[in-house]
Amino acid sequence: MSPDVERELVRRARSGSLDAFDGLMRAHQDRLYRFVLVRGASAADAEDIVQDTFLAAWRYLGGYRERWRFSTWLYTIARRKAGNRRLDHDPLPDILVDAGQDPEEAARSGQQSDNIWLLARELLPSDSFGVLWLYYAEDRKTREIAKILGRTAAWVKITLHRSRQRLRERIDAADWLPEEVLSNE
Amino acid sequence: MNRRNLEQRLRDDAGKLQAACPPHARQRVAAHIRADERTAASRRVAFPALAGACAALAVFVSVWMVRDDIAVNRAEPATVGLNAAPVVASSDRLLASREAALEDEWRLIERDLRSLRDHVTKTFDRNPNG
Repeated sequence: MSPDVERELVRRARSGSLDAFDGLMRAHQDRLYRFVLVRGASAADAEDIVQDTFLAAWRYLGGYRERWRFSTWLYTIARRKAGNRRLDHDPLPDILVDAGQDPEEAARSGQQSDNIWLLARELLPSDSFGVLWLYYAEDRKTREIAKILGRTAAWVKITLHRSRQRLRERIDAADWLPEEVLSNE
Repeated sequence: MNRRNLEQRLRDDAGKLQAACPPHARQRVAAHIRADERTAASRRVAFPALAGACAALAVFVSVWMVRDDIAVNRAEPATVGLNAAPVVASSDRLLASREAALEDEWRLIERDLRSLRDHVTKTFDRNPNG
C-alpha cells in the first residue's frame, strides 16, 4: 500500500469510516500477526493481541501522529499489548515455521530447518531477536525500532551490531567445528 | 560469512517465515466496533432525556423554594421555624412595655391636668375679681 493511499485511509477512518479502517486492517494484519508470533505469543494469544491492537488503534486514531508510519504506531501498540513476555531462546511457534512452505517440499529441501532465524532465536535473547527481526524482516529504520520497543536509537544500533556479530561467529564456527563441540558450548 | 551475506540470508529467510492472520480476527474487530457505535448511538438518545430530567428537577426545586419563601414571609411561628418564636415573643414584650409606658404617661398628664384645674378653681373661688 502506497503512503498516499494509507494516509487517505487513515483520514477517512478518523472521520468514522469503518470501511477505510477495514482496509488498513487488511493491509497490516498479517505482518502484525507475524510480529506478535515472533515475540513469543502462541497462535491464539497472537490473534487476541492483534484484535486488541486494532481495537485500540480505532479508539485512539485521533492520537496518531503522521510523522511515524501507521504500521510503526500499530507495532508499538501491539508490543505494549503483548506485555513484557521474555521467552529468551524459546523456539519459534510451529505455525510460523511450517506456514511458509509446503511441508513435503520443506522436508525435501531441508530449507526450513536451516532457516537462520531459528538459529537466531536459539542464540539471542528476546530483545536482540526483536531488533534483528524488525530491522531485516520488517525493513524498519533504527529510529522506528527504538520507537516500537521503547528504547533509544543508540541501544538499537549496539544491539543490532552485537546480534549480527554473535550470529556470524556461530555460523563461522559451525562451518569448521563438529556439531558435538558446538552443542557442548 | 561476511556481513553482506549474513544480511542477505536474514532477509531471504525472513520471507520463508510467513503466517496469515485468520480473517475472523478482522471480522471480530469490525463487529466489536459496530457494537460500540450502537451503544454510543443509544447514549446519544439517552442524553437529551437525561438533560430533560435534570431541567424538570431544577424547575421542581425552584418552585419548592419559592413556596417555602412565601411560607416564611407569612411569619407564622409554626412555619417560620425555631427562631420565630423568640423574635415574636420579644416584640410582644416590647409592645406591651411601650403600651404600659404610654398609659403611665397618660395617667401623669391626667393628674397634672386635674391639679391645674383644682388650682385654677381654688384661686377663682378666693378672689373672683382678681
